[in-house]
Amino acid sequence: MPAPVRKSFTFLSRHAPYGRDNAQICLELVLATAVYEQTVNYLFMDDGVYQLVDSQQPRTIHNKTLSANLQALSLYGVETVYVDSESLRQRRLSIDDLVIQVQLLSDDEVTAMIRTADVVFPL
Amino acid sequence: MKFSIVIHSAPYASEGASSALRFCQAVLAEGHEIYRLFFFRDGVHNLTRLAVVAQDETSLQDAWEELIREHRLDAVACVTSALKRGIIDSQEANRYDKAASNLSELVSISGLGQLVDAVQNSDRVLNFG
Repeated sequence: MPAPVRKSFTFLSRHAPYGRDNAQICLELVLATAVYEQTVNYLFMDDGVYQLVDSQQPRTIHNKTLSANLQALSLYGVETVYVDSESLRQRRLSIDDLVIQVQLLSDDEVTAMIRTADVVFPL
Repeated sequence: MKFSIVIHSAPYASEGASSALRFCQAVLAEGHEIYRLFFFRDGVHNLTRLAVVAQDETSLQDAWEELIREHRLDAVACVTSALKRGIIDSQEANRYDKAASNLSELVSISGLGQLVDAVQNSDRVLNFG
């Protein structure tokens, strides 16, 4: 039996956590991909960085926060979560505002992460 | 080249599904291969067989079914996306005691593993919508 193919997936999570399903779908895709032991680059940019903000209270809009699942990422082998530093800066956020530890990327590093991936899922 | 296509959006409300269909037709016309169509999120609405479209409009649902049949394409509907939107085959209709089913037997219902598999086995994977 041939060895399973390992490919690199870059997930661009670009939308705020509520109001549409993009954020939740992106997280589900990341977890599923990790289960199949693929290389996962999970990158938050644009309004997607709001998904990472600590102390959200989504129950008031009958929703649930992603933060519990985000904190479980390492259990799935997703050790590093990436954030576009310019997106944080534009929203006057810093890594101290975020619910998990992240690695900040410059524009050039974001470009490289997209260019070198086998597949990109923009969500 | 081997392609897989992920369809995220419903027909008619936006251009995504229509673009995906025309891209598939172009890929096949150029002699390339489609490894899998993966209908995801609102994209599963492209698969209902119960849609009725005005005579002077094109039925995207019919066009997808024709494409899948003609080229014997591997087409998968994401199970989570499909069931919650009422896109079900006769087997699921029986299982959940539903009055009708609307999914073509040419399309299988399966999970995200089929999407990962599509990436593993395709040269290019494109997302539409």
